[in-house]
This record gives sequence, structure tokens and C-alpha cells, in this order.
Amino acid sequence: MINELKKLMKIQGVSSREDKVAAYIEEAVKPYVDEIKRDPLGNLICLKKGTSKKAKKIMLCAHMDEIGFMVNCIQDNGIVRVSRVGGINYIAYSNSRVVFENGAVGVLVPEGKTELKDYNGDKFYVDLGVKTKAEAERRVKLGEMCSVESGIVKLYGTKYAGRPFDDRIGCYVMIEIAKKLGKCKNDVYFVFSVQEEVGCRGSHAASYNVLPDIGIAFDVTPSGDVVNPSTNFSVKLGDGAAIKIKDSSVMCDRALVAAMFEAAKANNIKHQTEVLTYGGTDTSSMQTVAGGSRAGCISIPTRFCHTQNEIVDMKDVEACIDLGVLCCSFDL
Amino acid sequence: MANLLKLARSLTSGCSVSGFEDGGLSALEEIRDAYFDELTREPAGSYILKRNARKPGLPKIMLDAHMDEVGMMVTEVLEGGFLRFTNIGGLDTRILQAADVTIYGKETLYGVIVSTPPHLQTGDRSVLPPVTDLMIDTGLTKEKAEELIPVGTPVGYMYKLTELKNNRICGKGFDDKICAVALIEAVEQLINGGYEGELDLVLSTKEEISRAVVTAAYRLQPDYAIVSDVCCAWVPGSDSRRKTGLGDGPEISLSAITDVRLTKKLIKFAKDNEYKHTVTVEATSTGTNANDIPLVGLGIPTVLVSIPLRNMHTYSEVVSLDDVADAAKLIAGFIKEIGKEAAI
Amino acid sequence: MKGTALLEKLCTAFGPTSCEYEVAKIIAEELEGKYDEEYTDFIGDRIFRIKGKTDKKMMLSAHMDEVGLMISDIDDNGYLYFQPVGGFDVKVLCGRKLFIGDFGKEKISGLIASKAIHQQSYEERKKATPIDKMFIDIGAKDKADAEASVQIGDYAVFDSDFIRFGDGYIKSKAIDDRLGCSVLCDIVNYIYENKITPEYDLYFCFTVREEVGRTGALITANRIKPDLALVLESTAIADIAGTPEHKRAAKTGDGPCVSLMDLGTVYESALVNFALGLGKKHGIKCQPKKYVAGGTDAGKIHKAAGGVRTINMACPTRYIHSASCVIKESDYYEMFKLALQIALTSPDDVPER
Repeated sequence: MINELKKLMKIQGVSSREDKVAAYIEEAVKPYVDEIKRDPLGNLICLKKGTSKKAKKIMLCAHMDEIGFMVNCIQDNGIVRVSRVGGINYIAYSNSRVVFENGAVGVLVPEGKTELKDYNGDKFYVDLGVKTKAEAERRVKLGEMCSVESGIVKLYGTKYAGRPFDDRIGCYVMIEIAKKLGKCKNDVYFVFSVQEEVGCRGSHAASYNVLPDIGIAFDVTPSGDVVNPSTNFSVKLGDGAAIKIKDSSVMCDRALVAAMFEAAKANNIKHQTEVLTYGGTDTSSMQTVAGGSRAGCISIPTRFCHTQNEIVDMKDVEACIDLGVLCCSFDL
Repeated sequence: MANLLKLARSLTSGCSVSGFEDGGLSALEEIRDAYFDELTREPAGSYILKRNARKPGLPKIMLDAHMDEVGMMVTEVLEGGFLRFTNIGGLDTRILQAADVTIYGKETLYGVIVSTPPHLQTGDRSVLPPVTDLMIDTGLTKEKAEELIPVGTPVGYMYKLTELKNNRICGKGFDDKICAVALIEAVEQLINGGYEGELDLVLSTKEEISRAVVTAAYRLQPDYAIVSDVCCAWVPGSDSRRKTGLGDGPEISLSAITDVRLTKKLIKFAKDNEYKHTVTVEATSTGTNANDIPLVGLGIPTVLVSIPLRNMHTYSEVVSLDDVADAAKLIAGFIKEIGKEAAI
Repeated sequence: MKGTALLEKLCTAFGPTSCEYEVAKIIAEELEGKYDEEYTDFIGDRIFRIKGKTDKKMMLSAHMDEVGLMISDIDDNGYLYFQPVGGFDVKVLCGRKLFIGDFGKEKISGLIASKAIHQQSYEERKKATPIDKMFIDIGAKDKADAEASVQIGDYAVFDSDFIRFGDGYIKSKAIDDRLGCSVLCDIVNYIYENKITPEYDLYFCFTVREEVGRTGALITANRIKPDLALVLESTAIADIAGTPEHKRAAKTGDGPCVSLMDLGTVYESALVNFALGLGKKHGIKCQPKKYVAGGTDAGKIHKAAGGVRTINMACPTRYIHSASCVIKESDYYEMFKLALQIALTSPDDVPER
């Protein structure tokens, strides 16, 4: 099981370049769903038809993309300038190895003399180890994307560190739900969305294409059990699936939230409450696109989001999978 | 005025923190019975009060005021039964310390936001702590608090409506339920005047967070939308160019993001018929649902009529019921006017 | 009229956001009789359809509105106060001449004034005058005199001549995005004059309200539900002395920019390469834009109606959103050629995603 996750984590998919991730996921869920399509933005939409004639449309959504950078200028001395794609913490990513779509590797570094407070995209460049523009252009092209080296390592017990858990872990949860689901009365749409990190753009189109009755996102949420957290979170690693009440982009549907709590309690699934003071997920698109839906989110507690070493506990992941399966038969 | 005051009381007394707008439901059922044919709730949470057309050929008009108000949410229960919380929407952090709040837990409870006594404060005393550093005192033991107040419980300002002089009232949640009062009054006037077109009153939710009104607009696809929200009334120290004061009547907002032509028609109508009103320019953003409704589907012509209000987002918002009555009159008059044109 | 002569006519028209009528009228006259169907929606978006051989729909879009000011108050001395409609660098406002007016109203002249330099404190002199310290002087005696010709809600745009200068450069206001409108008109003209039936079903869309809200492009895309969209824009660049290479974005004279990414859209790389490839194949100058900033109508279009594949092409423009935008004339014609190639392409030749 962990091997499958490792594979999924290793495939690169910066926002808008999710094709390889989609191809992997498509193979993984194919045996368990009835229809598969990609929409014009590249969202992977997989339908498992329900058994009931009055089936509700349940949309499960996790995003395939990860944060990264795009080459926007190759300078005469072979210096490669990159723009951020999604919310980049330059301090966390400073002096990291970055891998390009074609496999080329470079190092992301700040210009010398740059003070910590001035860390921003214009001050950073990628060193490919080349001397000239021509050499650089043989390695990378304008518009090509890269991301910080991916992969995971095992920490103590069931905890793993690496990237990009945001949001391959959500994709993983959904793949496992597809495997476990079996017969279900509702039409379940497994939507693996694109371009979440640049503003939930993929799920905006996908929600329009699915028009769900109930929408549930699977995404990471910051964990509060770190030393001196920047703000107070009650979410803790190992305390189970985090049922989202709010973040700064959405107030989740109360009936759906109540149903999630009830299902978790009745089935002894470890769970906790998430009240996030910032951030946003695909949940908001599902709630507000077209006629809207009842929307909610099951979050996977994650320490140090958007760094090279995001940490998750596989026990929480299991809980999210179990709870997700139950949500598929909701009738609200 | 008595009717307006009664409505204001019944709509603002309950819980209507964004995402938890259930407090006024029984009031809405009464309103439905009095003026509308049906009351439904959107998947995204908005209430729709629908009055079907009595005669074909008139435009379908959507009226919108948002039901939700800013508030707080419990994030953690601490020792001694204190609560950590976060804001829902833009709280005015200057007025929080020692404020009365209502905790909508398993029971509805009273709480007070703690304030650090002066002798324990160090450094610059004028610096306001962020919301997430404040706490609510429940007076309960930790065990009891945990039992009654799960994480995620909404907290609102405590309801207390006070009548001031000159038909002015002071309370919480007038942003934006006082506008709902005006719209309901407008509907009543239209019905009493024999208006026969379709009127859909949307009491939208989550305005302070995500503008969930768009899903209601998408479902209704109205010919016109009239949004009513509150605007900051002039007080000493306000921007000198912002002149609308309490009692000056409703404010019509001219903006490139709403419908300029429809707005100008409204201004002309108000002028020609001597309805009390003011005009303001909010060139690129009104900061209300009127920013979002024009973008729905194939576009919806939208105007914004605002009611002046002092002390926005506090528990002591002040409005003038005269302004509410004037807004209702203006909106009812304008709807009749649009109806006339469509009928020709 | 065609080419930069048409561009001149369009640029000098009065058309701030939500007041694009004058521009729309010029375009409608220019295209009269050269299309199969026409549609105008209630906010003023103009759609001209030229039927194609296939039922695949291409939306070609440019916005008609320009940045402007809205009059928000008139004081007792007859000075006008204003709010910007669209994004301005406050440093380009003070001292500018303006036309003030509204749809169907005679335009009057005015200028943006502020306290004279010798009345300003040492601190004030070091900084750009903030918008609330500026006002418009129309020469009125008092409030009543001003109100006789200006009402609150009227618009102002720059009074700025269209000038050819230097080595094939053009300076004007409102290049953003009359240039796109002009190129679209040229394409319609070309198709009409050469009696071409395009492969795609073409929808030429002249949209409103880009500078505020991007309403026009969104609801037009919702209406057409295109298979492919081409957005024609003008884009801010800085190929000026002293700017480091990686912040220049693009170069005037190197042809239109094809955008890789901006703050509203990540463009599909297959389509970017398709557009650049067409340029190469037909010997048309074009360049990728090498800096990420701003946004265009594409941001709304690509998310509309379940997703629309979108290409953004933009003419490199110096000093955008000012009274003096500068472009190279040759870029205009290269942009026309490349946009024409895309318009006439067959759906089979467009790479699948």
C-alpha cells in the first residue's frame, strides 16, 4: 500500500501539468469505475454509477497539482529565472533541489546579499550548473515547470515525511475509496482536479461539468501540534480524519458536517474537528458554482504544509478513507 | 414604524453567524405566510421566498439581502472553561474585549470576552491583540464547557435591541437584516398596490465569507436583481467625500461593476418622483453581493440600494427606521416602474 | 478602414468601463454586412459570427473598455473629485488633460490638478500625490456651473493624441485593448474580402467591462460555450534602459507575445506551442512573454461553462494604463497575421490536450 503512495508522490504535476499524475490515477481507478473522462481544463472525472434510480450525485474531489515554478527567462549567463506557481514559501524552499518536467535538475537559490525579509520570486534563480545561455537552453525551455524534489521517508511508527502530500494524499484517499466502495446507491464522481494551487480553477470547471448534489473535498490541513504554532489550531496528527467546519473561503454545509460526525461516531472512526483560520480548498467551488451543492471537506492533518517535509500519519489517512466510503451513501 | 421594528427584532434576535443562519427561520415562515407562496433553502444555504407572478408578461425580479452577520467560532476549550476562537468575517477588534456574546453550543449560553486587567499589561497598551489571542469566559468548568461547547461552535454578539431617539435603533446584525426588513416592507407595499409580477426575495447566506448568493441567482435567473445592503453612514472623522448620513434616506450606488444603465434609471426615477435618496460612487467595487450577481450565468442587471448604518460589524450598529421606510418606498416604486415598461 | 488607421480611430474613441458605446458603434459600422449573425447582450457585448465549415466554435475576443475615472463628487468651487475605474499607477495622473462625459453626452475638457508644487511641503514633494488629494478642473465658476455640464457618475478618460514617432513607434491612450479590437476587425475584413469560409465557426467578441470585473468576457463565454478561445490583448512590458533582463517581459519589435502564465491563467502549453509554432511556420514574428504579472479576460473565459481551452496573445506595450501607451507598429501587423492564422486554422490541426 505504501508503495503505491510512494509512486503517486514521485510523479510530478505542477499546476496545469498534471497529465502524468492523471494517467497514473486513471490506471489505478479504472477497474472500479464505469466512466472516465478528462474535461477541457484537464480534470479527471470518473463516475461510478449508483444502484438507485433516485441516486444523488456525490462529487469527491482531490487535486492532482502541486506547487512549483515556471521558467520565465533564461539569461545570457545561463541563469534561469522562475515564477512561482501557487503559494511558495521562499524561505522554506531556499537552496532546494528542483526537478524539471524533462528530468533536468537545478538548485533554487537567492541572489547573494538578499536579506531574509526580501525573499521573493524576483530575487531567486535556478542554478543548473551551466555557464551559458545555450547550455541552459539545452536543459530547460521557457515555460517549462519544475518543483522541489519529491519523495517520502518513514519516520516513527506510521508517520511519513516528504512532499507533495498536498494533495497526492487526498488523491490516494480517493483511489482507496474507489477500491473499497463496492455497491453504492448514489452516483459517485471521483474528480481529480487540476490547478487548485493557483486558485481552485480546475474544480470550478469540474463542478460545472458534474453539478453535484453533495461535494466533498479531500485535502490537507495544517496540524496544530507543533512548537509555537503561528495561530491556534485544534487539529492534531494522529487524532483521525479532520472534519472541516470552516476555512477562510468556505463555511461547510452544516447538515453534511453533522452527517459526517454521526457516521464517524457510529462506525468508530477516529475523527476530529477542523476550524481553520485561513486557507481555501476546492470545497468553495463545489459550494458556489452554478446552482451550488452541499459542500464539505475531509482533511488529512499535515504538519509543515508547502515545505519539502510535510508530515502525515497513515492512521489518519486510513480514517479519512473509511469515512469517505461512508459519505458516498449519504442522502441529504 | 411599529411593523418595521417588530420585523427587525424578530430577524436579528437569533443566531445568524455566517454559515449558521437559522435564527430567524420561524420569522421567515410567518413572512412566507403573509406575502409569499413558498420558502425554500438552497444547497449553499440561502433562503428563497418566492411570490409567483399573478399575471404573465412582467419581469422576474430578485431582491437580495444577506441573512448572515459576522461572528466568531470556537477553536479550542482551555483550562478553566475559557474558549479560544477565530473570527468569521471582518470583526472590529477594537470592541471585543469585555463584550457580551452568545455561544450557540448544545445549549445557548452567555459568555464574555476576556480583557486583560491594566496592571497585567506590559509594553504598548494601545496595541490590539489579534482575535486568535483573545478568549471567551464561559464561567463553566472545563469538563462542562467541553461537553456543551464542541470545537466549531458559532458565537455571536449578544442580542439586545435598543430604541434611540428619532426612530433610530441600536443593535447587532442590522448588517444586513435591516435591509431584509426594507425589502419585505417593499414587497408588502407592492402587494397592497396590486402588483402582479414575480418577486423572489433571496435572504442569502455566507455573504461575509463567500457570497453564496450566486447559486440562488443562478437558479432563479431573474430579469433584474435589486440588492440591498448597508453602507457606512457619516460620522465625525469619516472621509469628507462620504456624505450620506443617518436619516438622509437610502443610498444608490453608481459603479462600473453593477449595471450603470439600470442604476441611472433608478436615480432618475428617484429624482423625478422626489423619493428621498443620496447617490454615491463606488467605481470598481461595492463590497457587497452586487459585485457578484452581475456575473452569474448570462449576466443579471443589478442595482444596489444601501441603508446608512453607523458602527458596522459591531454589536451597536445604529440605523434609522426612517431610512428603512424610505428605502422600501423607493424600491417598491422602482419595481412598479420597471413593470410598467415591460408591460408596454 | 484597416490597420493602424482603424486603430487610431478606435483609440481616440471615448470608452471607459461600462460606457463602451462609442467604440461599439465604430466597430459595428466597420463590420456592417461582413458577418452572418450579430448579437448584442444587455450590457453591450457585441458578438459577430462568421459561420465555419465545422460546428467547432472559436471565440476571438478583445475588450472595448479602457481605464478611466468616474466623477464621484463636485465641490462648491466647481472642482470635480473622482475614483479610478481600472488599475492606475497614481504617478501618471497628476496634470493630465481629460475628456469628461458619458454616453450620448457632449464631452468637455478638463485636467487633473492638485496643490501647486510650491504649496506642497517638503514631505509631500517627495511622494506621488494620492488620488484623494487630486481633483479635476473644468474651468467652472462654482458648483452650479459645473453641474450644468457634469453629473456624478460621468466618466473621464485621457485626452491624448495618437502620434507616430521614432523608429516606427506609436503612442496613444487606450491601446489596451482597442488594439485587440482593431486586429479582430482586420481579420473579419480579410475573411470578407477574400471570401473565405473558415474551418471553425468564428465568434468575434468585443467585450465590455474587462478593467473592472471582467463581466463581459465571462458572460459571453457562458453564452457561446466555445471549444477554443483566442484572447487578444495588449500587455505591459518594460524593454526600457536599465531594466534587468528577467523583468523586461518582452521586446517591442519582436512580434506579439504569447502568454505562458499570468495571475489569472496558466495557459495550456500545447496551445502556447501551437501558436508559437504557427508563427515559425509562416514566418511571423512572435515571442513568449517572459514575466508573470497581471491578468486578462482569459482568467474568466478558461474557467467558464465547464472549462474553455484558451490562448492569449498580446501586443507588447510600454507604459500601459497611462495616457501614453507605446507600441511598435510592426508588432500590430505581426499580431494580425498570427491571429489570422489561428482564426483560419482547422480544428484537426489544433493539438488535443
